[in-house]
Amino acid sequence: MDNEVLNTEPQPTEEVRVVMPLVDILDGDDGVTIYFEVPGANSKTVDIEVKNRIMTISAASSLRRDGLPVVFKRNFRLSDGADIENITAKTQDGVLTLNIPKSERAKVHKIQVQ
Amino acid sequence: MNMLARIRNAEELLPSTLGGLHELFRSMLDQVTDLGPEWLPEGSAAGRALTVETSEKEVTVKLPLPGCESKNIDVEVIGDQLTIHAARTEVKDENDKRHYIRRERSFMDYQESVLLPVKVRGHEAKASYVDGILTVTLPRENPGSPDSHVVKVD
Repeated sequence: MDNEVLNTEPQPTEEVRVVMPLVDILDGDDGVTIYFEVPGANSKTVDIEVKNRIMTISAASSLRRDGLPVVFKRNFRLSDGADIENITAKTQDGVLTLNIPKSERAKVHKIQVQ
Repeated sequence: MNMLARIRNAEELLPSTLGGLHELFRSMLDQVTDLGPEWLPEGSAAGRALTVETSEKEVTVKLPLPGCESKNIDVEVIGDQLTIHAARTEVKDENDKRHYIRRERSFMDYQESVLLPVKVRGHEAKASYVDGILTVTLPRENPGSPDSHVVKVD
């Protein structure tokens, strides 16, 4: 797994300019919300993949840098506490919002003392 | 312990005897662990860099302003100077019980001025905001005129 982690950093290629998007991450009772800055990208150009609990976000932008089209890319490892099956995503005004619900075992369960 | 500490760093810091405890906390707290580099590469800034392109007929200025609304963006042209002011509202309001575990999107109030490379007709400028990118198009005052002049040395 460590080797996989080391290999996940964005690498520039000849065809595109890979850029790491800035994020805000908010944690709530029901799950985690990640806001990605992906200017120039929209729902048609965003790709989200989860494989072996590694989530890869890739968003092709209309921006160009150094004559190359910009692709925003970033990876996250999701713990067992993330409900992968029910992740939702939307894009608006160049921001990708990802809601990752917590699985039942990761939610706070209050226990009453009798 | 910082919830955002990277796994590989945390494992280096913790003695092996605490590894099990670390795993427990990690599974409890870290639903999401960033696998990006420790540093923000230069490319991150490139996502918000202003660009100016000049053609024979017009000057086009593009500025990524993700997360804004067009009503909160002001564009002003005075002579050859273009000034852009934009404000973004917080994703988390006072009643929101969620808390930040990472905050990189710093800009809430943004202003940038740029001196345009050629004279433009500011009153004919047009601006649009699509997918988080502000595009301002300004017709040149003298379309097709050269940007440089050859000066003869006597």
